Amino acid sequence: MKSHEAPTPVEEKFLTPGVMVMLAFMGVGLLFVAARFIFGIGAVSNLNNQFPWGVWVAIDVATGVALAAGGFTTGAIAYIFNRREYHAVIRPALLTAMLGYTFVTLGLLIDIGRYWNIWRPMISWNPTSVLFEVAVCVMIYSNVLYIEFLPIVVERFKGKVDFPGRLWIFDDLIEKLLGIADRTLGKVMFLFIIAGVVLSCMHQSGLGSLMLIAQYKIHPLWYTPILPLLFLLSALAAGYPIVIFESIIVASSFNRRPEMEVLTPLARFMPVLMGIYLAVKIGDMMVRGTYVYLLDGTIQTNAFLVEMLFGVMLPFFLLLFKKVRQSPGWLFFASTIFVLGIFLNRINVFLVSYTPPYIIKSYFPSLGELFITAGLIATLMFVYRVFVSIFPILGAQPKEMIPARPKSTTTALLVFLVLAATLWSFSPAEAAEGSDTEKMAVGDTGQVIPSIADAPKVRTLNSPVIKESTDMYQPVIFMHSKHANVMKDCTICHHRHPRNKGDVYGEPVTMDKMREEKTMPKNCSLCHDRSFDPKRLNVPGLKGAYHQLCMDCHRESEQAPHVRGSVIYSAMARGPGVHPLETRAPTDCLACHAKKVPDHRELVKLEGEVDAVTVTKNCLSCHELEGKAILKTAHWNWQGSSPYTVGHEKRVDLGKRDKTINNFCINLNGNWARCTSCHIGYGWEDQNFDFSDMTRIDCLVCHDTTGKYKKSPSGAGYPKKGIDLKEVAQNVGRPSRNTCGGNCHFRGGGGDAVKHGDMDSALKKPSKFHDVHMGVTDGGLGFNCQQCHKTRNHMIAGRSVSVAPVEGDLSCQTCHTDRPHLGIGMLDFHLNRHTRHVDCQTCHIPIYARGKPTKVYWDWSTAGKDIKGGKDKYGMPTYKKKKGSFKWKKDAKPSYAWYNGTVKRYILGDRINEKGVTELARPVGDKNDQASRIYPFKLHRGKQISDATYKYLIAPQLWKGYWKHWDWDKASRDGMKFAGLPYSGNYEFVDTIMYWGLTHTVMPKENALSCAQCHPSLNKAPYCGSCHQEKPGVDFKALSTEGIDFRVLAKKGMDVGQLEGKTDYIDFKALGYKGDPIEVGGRFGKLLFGKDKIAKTKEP
Amino acid sequence: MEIGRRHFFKLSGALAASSLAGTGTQAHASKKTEPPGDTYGCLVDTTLCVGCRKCEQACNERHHLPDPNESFEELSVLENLRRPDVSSYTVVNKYYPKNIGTLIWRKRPTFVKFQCMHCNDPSCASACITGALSKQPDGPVVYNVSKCIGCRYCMVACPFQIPAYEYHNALTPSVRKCTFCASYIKEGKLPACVQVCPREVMTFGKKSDLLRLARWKMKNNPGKYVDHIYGEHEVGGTTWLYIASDPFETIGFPKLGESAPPRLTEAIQHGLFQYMAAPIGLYVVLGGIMWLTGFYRNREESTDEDSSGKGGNA
Repeated sequence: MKSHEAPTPVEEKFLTPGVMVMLAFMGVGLLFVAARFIFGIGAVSNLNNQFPWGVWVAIDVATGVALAAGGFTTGAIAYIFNRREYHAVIRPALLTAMLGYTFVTLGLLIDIGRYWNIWRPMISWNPTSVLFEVAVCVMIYSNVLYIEFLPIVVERFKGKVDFPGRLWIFDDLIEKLLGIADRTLGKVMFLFIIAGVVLSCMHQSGLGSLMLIAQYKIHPLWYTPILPLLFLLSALAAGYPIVIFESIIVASSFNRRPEMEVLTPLARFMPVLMGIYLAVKIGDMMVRGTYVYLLDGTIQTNAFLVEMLFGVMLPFFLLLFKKVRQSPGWLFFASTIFVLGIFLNRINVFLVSYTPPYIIKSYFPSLGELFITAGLIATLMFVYRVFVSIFPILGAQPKEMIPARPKSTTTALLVFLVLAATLWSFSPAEAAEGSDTEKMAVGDTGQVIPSIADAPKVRTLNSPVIKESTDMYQPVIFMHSKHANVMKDCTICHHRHPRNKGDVYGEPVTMDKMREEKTMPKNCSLCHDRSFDPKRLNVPGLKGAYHQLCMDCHRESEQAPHVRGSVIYSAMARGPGVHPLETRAPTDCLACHAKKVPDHRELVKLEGEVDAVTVTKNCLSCHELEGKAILKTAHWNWQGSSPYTVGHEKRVDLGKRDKTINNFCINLNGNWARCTSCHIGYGWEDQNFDFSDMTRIDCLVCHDTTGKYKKSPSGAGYPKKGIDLKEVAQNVGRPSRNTCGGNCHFRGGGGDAVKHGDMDSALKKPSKFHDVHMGVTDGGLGFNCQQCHKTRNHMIAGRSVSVAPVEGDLSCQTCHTDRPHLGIGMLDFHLNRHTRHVDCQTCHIPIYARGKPTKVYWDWSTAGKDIKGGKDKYGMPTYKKKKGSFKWKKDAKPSYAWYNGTVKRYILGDRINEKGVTELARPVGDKNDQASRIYPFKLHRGKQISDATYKYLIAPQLWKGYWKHWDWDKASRDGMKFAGLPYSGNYEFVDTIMYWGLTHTVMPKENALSCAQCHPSLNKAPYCGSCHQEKPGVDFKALSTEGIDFRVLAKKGMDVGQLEGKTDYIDFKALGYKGDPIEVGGRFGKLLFGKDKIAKTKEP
Repeated sequence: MEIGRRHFFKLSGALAASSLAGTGTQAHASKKTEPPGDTYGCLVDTTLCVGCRKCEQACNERHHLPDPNESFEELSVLENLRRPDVSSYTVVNKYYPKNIGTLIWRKRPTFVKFQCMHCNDPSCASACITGALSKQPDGPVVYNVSKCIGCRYCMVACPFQIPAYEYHNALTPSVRKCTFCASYIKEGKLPACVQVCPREVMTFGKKSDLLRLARWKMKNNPGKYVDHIYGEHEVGGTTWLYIASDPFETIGFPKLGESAPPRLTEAIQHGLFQYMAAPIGLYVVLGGIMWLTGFYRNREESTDEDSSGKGGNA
């Protein structure tokens, strides 16, 4: 067609406002691109693991390729079908395609993380990958496009090569190359033209195949196996609209006349191509039946409707009309909405339809992504503008009357509006819910066979089989007999027995069967030795077997009620009132096994001589949380919540820090550096100690394993001089009886066994006879302190009459339950009835202070005199000038009192008992209080200084006070000043008493008190027969006297001579009975015991 | 472990027989008897999992992944839906029954450990542009970072949404996912999570054995499990298999069909590009048309045509 002129470079003004806007977008985009390459994709985009592809792929790549379809479609019509009238639009379309594909590659460089590896697909081929096919096609096609563009370069520069300056030396060379190109290109160009079309068809469809693999993430409206065909058809259909859209815009921005004589005939093909696309698309929808989604109102459906109705159907119908095709305005409109429709289609397929099953964070493009995309588009437009100024691309057309139409910038704006409108934030998928659980199918047979009573007490589950796979935890100390007692059925755990040697699966067993066959339960490791043995995958390994079995009960919810041993009457576990203690099986790892302490030799990085605080700082560098936890503990604060101190239940400030008082060294005020040598901190020298300073924590005193760490006796908690703290720190481990006890608790009151009647250095290596739990010889269980005193966040469970703070309940019943006597004999039955009235310790700690003599009396009034003190029969001093007179006891009979778990405590400032003995700490309880039980105590009596006028006890300053100047008045004045209480100037010495509970040094059961030792009525005939008929074969006398034999102990050298033959071990009258409860009746009466009650029940 | 490449099961009754242990045949190291494609795998019994997160911890330790913000002992993180990411190849999620809150004795929640399923026919490996992801003959789907270009197509392709990406690594970001401890398996050792799991929630073994084990468990615990082994058929079968007491849709598993997505895409790929027949055919056809239309008319009108005919462009 000759009506249009040959293409020439555009000679319009370059820096138009539109170009300025483009430059601005390019600048902002460039900033974000820089951020992406410096800080990574995550820094500028909202892409995440759920949405790995965003607008960069959907717009820069997918849409970019689709909108570059103008190149191959016009190439096809102009050359392959040889319709030369369309040559006018070929050059702009070619330029657009070439730039389009170049920018697709640039966009990819931004989007792919390892951009420097982009060449990799050239050598690492994965032919199954659609992306590989697309990438190869795009790569080749880009080069084809460059080659196709070469003739334009030749045309522009052939014979005009003139490099500036010294570069002229290249002029000849380039000129020659251009000449060669000019001569050869024309002859082979048809090869490239065909290749361009073939490659385009391949990768346009390939782009559609891309998402096919994400079958379950693409909304069914778009997901169809013919997606590649739809992509190809839509690209074919989009080619001419893009050319028209672009041509009209370019004409408009360069003030040229739109080449309607080319565009209108071109537009004739459009409804045909669109119609084919539309037909296939709708046909596919019908075939797959996806129209059911059309009205469900989701974002996906709405986006689909917009795409189809406005993006495909509307332009299709418009272009059927000749008038539309002939009017530049209408043609532009129809082309534009179709282009936008394709744009939206690509975004829909790649983004909107992408609904992955797990959405934690939904995706909406970030500003960075949008600006980089906008920047790329702006750059493309800018480069296009540059190219048309340099190269002969656009046909020279004079301006004519043309209708006003959108400028390129407004179009760009429109593009963004559409983009924003289509990309609502995706609604996150709702988390799946729903569960159904099986019930515990453990039968409650209630049968008790003797073997349960004989079950091994404790087992250390320390099989090498387990260590083989993991070694994170210390072995479980498994309370075997407790579990046997609670469940009363061995076969819940010992569920199968091997039939014969080598039989590893065995047969199911029941208690009945075991008793019938007189077989003992078999060891777990007999079958459960190897994990994942391919021959028997259904038999878990030992670790799996333990955990599967244990955690059938030890689990957070739904603990089978019948396997819980409820503890109803445990004063030490609960306060007043009868509350059942839920002894639910613990469910977390640490409740059963402690974590292994890693070797700290490498971890502790200390150089040279270090001081204590430096060590702590080093500890805190890893254990800051532990440090914070310590700050909340009673061991650190020496005060804490005191829920069991009557009248002070809500207080949190009771404790030895300043509020409570004892009749040993009386009170802390003024005596810090001496007293605080047992504090787990450094430098508590006065009232101003900073309890929030973690660096003052003494980690080593508890965690030392070397035994070398010792605190200075009056050093305010600092260690003794000359200890290699680095060595101690590098060998830290779990606390032990040597740290808890050896460093502090065995030495309460300033010396071994002084305060506690049941704790002294003998517990470092006791025999079973001394303490069944802590005993390490003769079959003792070898417990460490923590086996009972369970510790969480450095809070240590345990209760005491003598100190107020409590960090957790603990009682014998926690392990032994309310029914601890496991046999089925008559005695067991009776003993189990006692457990609600008499605590375990009462019978099982018949004598205390068995290791070392303990102080039972302390008279301060005699202090300060220069009398020469003697020694008692144990070799203990009876007088010291500093402290006054003492009395000591060894192997002593406890005192007994009712105790419901609460304590009446003397708080500094309370009025003394003017009529008698002031009780500093006394258990609360009463015979008529159902929660009370009889407990054993060591009583410590004292005579200590008191204000004669104000009638309250004085906290004298002893350390660096009285012990220096021997002046009680000055010591009282100074001490009370620290205590914040007025001192009248008159002092007196008053009697005080303290109760100290006895819970340690439990003796073996053979050494428990016998029935007859407390009940005089059982010492004479007919013994048990007053209630029971004679039973043949049962020796009631032997039964009632079965227990500790003081004669044997006396022969061993224990000071128990005076206890021999005692029949009133417990003074029932002092406990509120009129006599032996068997004779006069007691609390058992309420339990249908005694002749009256039995008679009464018989009446109706 | 000496599981090695051995085939142990020649049982007719297989695991279902309660007496199977005694009748297990001796292991014989014959490769021939191994059914084709019997890879290693794991059977996850979700009814056993208690959500202790030890598997996560062991995995992180073995793969030298950074410690999470919350310690592994912090179990409250289970309350939120989590997905594997670059610093955790496996995560445990907690799924409450629907009636939570209305019952005093709530039913037990189900804990599910998620990680790469190591599909028999992995979409990621099929999709990967460079073959950086590949299926090992013994089961694992492994990743070769040197081939990766960071296109994240594997993440798009994976039906289980497993691969995670180091978005905040500017220069050498890589795709991270469960490795099935491939190098350990080769040496006859166990994957870290399997080895550490206290309850042996996961059973490691040959897939055929695991399927038998799963059916054995179902048969011997009537009513305990839903009658579905997730992964037996999903997307062409996966190496990791799950059994559960709840319908799998309710405990975080996507509902997937039985055909592997790569079968469709690769069928299309092969259909179109087998021996490059289709492109070459198209090339010949287009060339023919060009010859018929262009060559003839070019010659006819060569006298009055401008330069654009030969080199004018395109």
